[in-house]
Amino acid sequence: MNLAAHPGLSRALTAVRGAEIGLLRAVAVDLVVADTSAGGGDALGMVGPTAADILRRATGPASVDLQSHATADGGAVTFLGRTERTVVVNAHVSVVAGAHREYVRATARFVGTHGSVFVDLLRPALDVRTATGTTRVPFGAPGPDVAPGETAAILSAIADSARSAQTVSTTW
Amino acid sequence: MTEQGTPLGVGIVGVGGIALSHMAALRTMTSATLVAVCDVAADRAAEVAHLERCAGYGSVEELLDDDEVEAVIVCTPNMTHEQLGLQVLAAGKHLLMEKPLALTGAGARSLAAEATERGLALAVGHTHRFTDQSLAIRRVIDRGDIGVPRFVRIVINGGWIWPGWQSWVLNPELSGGHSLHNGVHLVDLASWWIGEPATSVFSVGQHATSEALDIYDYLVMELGFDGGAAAVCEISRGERPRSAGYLELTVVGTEGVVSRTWDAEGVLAWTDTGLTAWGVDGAGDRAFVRELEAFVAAIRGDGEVVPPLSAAIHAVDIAVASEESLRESRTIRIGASA
Repeated sequence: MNLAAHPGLSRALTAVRGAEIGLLRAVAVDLVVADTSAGGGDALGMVGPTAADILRRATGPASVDLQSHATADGGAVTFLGRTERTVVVNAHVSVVAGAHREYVRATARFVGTHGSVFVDLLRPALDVRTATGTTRVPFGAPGPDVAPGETAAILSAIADSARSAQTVSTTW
Repeated sequence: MTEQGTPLGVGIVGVGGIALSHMAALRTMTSATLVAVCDVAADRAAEVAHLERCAGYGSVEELLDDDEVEAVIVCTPNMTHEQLGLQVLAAGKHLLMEKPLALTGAGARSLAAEATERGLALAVGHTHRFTDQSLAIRRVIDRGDIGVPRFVRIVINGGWIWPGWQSWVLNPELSGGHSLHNGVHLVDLASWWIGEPATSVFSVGQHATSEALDIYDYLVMELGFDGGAAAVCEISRGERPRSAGYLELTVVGTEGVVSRTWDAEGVLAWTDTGLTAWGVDGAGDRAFVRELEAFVAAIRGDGEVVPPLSAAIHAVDIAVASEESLRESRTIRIGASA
């Protein structure tokens, strides 16, 4: 499921661009996907492009200093950074054991000087509750995937920071 | 000094702010009782003593001379913690220090050494460990439901600034900065849930309320752990409007996610202002009671100090490094953890 075209995300980005929450101060993105390859999963490769795309669309073109951390198997990657306009950006992407390419968590939060917006990218959804358990069935039209090449430089910088344990600079 | 079955005699140093929460907790307990308070404002101490039906003193020396006082809770500004803590321990009293334990790693270790040498219990008020939600998350982790934790996100964003522009909290020399004043809570939770001490910190801050502030009222700390796990700890006192406050607790493991989501309160209200998830208070009160009960149990030899002193010292080390990271805009490595 592509999340970059999620209607809730579009609405949130409209709020950011329209200054409905004031000037943007911070963006936080969590994308966790279940995959049968957990244990050797490439979190950056699987969902990194989407995370980078969300951040880039929120801040606009920016120079970013960031520090990232990655588990040895590449299954979990986290970074915190700051744009030259001092917007705080951070994201976590990871792969957990489970069914193939099914998101178990996908959120984006935008903090402004006069409010904030939180988007659960797995909603809107139908809550299906039965005696045997609860499931949540998302609905909405899927959009085009983010082309991996569009975010290659950003993902490379994130990986470099985790490898070197140093802060690095990149642009998006 | 302390006998099983007899309520522990507790004295409180400093009767403002957080002391009220400790007093409220003590009122509900049978294992401990408030016997004395003191404050540099003697009239304030006398007023509280009258309300709490206990002794009231204008100096810590008088309180420590009171034989009814077996244990002391220090609720004074951060810059006084090390000196007052040493004074309390030197008097042979058990100590529950409000966080942070001290403003420096050396100060924290000095207090720990003094307590160990004298065989006294020394606990630190990392109250967040005792909330319903924090304990529930730890149980989920301990059961192995989400596998090995690899990421923690803690967001505690509020919309109130500390009272008065002259407040000591806003002076980094007196409070240690936001990392030490509030950040230690998040550091403690993250390390507890990940299951090991952090080894690096990279922090970013903003003066959200005003550029005139000397501390970063909006603070994000990224903790790095051996093996690549990480935690993002975000705390703010500068969210406007105040209704923009936000709380989130998330742990991602190798096999799943546990998260306290935005509507976890379970109370959704549709009013003239739209849909709101109403906060349900209550966990906070229980947290202070649990914290004090654990303190009493440790004094009586019925349990360990919670959190362990090594964790409280670690929180100070990380917070001090976080302030350094804010000043130097770089990642700070932590040496051998306590």
